[in-house]
Amino acid sequence: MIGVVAYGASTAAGEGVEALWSGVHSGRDFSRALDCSDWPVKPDFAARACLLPSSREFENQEERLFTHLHRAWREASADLDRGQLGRVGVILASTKGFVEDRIWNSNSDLRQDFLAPLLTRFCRLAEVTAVTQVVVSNACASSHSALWLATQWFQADRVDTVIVLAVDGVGPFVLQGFHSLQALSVSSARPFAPDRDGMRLGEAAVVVVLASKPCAIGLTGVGLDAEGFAAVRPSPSGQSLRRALRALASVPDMIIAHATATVLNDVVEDQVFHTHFGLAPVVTGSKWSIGHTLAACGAVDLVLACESIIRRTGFRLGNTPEVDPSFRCRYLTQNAALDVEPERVLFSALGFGGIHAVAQVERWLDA
Amino acid sequence: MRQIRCAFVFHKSIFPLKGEPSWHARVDRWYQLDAPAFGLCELWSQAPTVEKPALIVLASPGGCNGSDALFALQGASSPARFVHTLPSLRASALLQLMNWHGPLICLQNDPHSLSRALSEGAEWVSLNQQVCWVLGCDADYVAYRFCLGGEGNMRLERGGAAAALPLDSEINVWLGKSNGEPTAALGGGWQITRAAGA
Repeated sequence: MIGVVAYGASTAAGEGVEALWSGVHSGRDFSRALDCSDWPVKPDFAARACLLPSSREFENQEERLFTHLHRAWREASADLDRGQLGRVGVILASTKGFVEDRIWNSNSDLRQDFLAPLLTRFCRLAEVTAVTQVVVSNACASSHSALWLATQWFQADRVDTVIVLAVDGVGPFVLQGFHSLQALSVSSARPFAPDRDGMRLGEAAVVVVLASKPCAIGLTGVGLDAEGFAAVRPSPSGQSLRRALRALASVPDMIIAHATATVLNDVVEDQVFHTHFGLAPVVTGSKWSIGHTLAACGAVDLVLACESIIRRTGFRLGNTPEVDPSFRCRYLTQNAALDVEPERVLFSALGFGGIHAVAQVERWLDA
Repeated sequence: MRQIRCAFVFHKSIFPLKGEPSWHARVDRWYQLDAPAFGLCELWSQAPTVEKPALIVLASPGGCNGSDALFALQGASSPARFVHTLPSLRASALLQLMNWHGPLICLQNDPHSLSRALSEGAEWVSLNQQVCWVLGCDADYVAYRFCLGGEGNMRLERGGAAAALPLDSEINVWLGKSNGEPTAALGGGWQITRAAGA
């Protein structure tokens, strides 16, 4: 088991883990209409997303996202004993959040990726000397993949501490892209509901600090599987998600599903989770509230999983009053009783390119 | 494991291809693949293997910047172009061709993406004693595959002092010179050596 030492987060719910938990737990949907007036490509649809809070104007997207990432780090590191970090590895999980500043200008130099310099910038700003650092870009399973890589580093005794930075943003590139795939909801994200029609996009900046030592919460396993089925939809058999689940040895009390509210995603997750676990765990999700935060969604759900264990309660699918009658799992719908005190929480992610990932945290040391 | 055998193959594709590739019937919408995805499929068709890896590490130098530009500068409306703005999509078609499933991780760390991917692959093989493939495709449509942990015409070794990661361009130059230095540093204490006659 790997210790979850600390974490920090900025999401559409606000800055800080408390804002994230309160927002999701209170059932609030943070999506709002976007001002696209100065976008290089103006959407021909009603653009809505769950954006990070902005107390001031930023020079560009990179500055805005990086500022929130740094704030998340300050929250995570507030009580860290920097002298005890030992050998530090740093992993950045991100996809297209930082592309907006460069991609619309045909004169931009696109020969090198622009995520790796952010790692260097973070380490300098955070005064962290990393023995190893890398960017992981595994679509919506990037955070889970970063956790998977971190476990490999710990198993090989290459590091004592891993800092996972998970950040993604929404702009015209991403919004237009998902709209072109017809993946966005025209109303609201209603995961597992019979009338679900797609997702809401969101932004997040999350920092998770892991260490090879006992903590209040431990990361007990990460499963990763890629299938060659189709580019943007999972195999209806759910085999890839089943294979990822083989990495986990125990049954969770609660599942924070990927729950994008697309027709196909929710079918696969219900089928696989019910077949694998039966009715033992309750199932919920967070993307209806703070949006699908792309590469950061796994890290967001890790934070929510840990907070659920610490607070001894779950959170509901706030936009889902009733579940699709064909679904068989036990869901924390909008009006369900929150009669769960999870000790072990699984969180999942399904990414473009056929990537399926699961991770599980559980109470390790009683505080 | 301090020494890992490595088989290296590469293939330069013609892209876009005039006509259908030999594997067209096995990959859904092959005609929508971008250059790197196409290159990896062509490499597999030119150099298939019986042994399959337990892990695939996809090196993504330059991220998906080329595909990003194609999507954006053509109006940001093509779903076929948008899906290829993610590195994981590069492997999706290849996995269909190979009929393979397993853990796959896309790494980038310019200007050291390839060297980082190789050193991570070597570390994983050293820990897990299984075969790992490191794949990638550069800007000139040259797709490459390093099979770490099986038989091969190269070997990766650790034992020297940890060195800084070399530039990907330095590795590419070394790979291209069959009569050059037999050994090149990969960083993280790893080095790659060409077998005699390779």
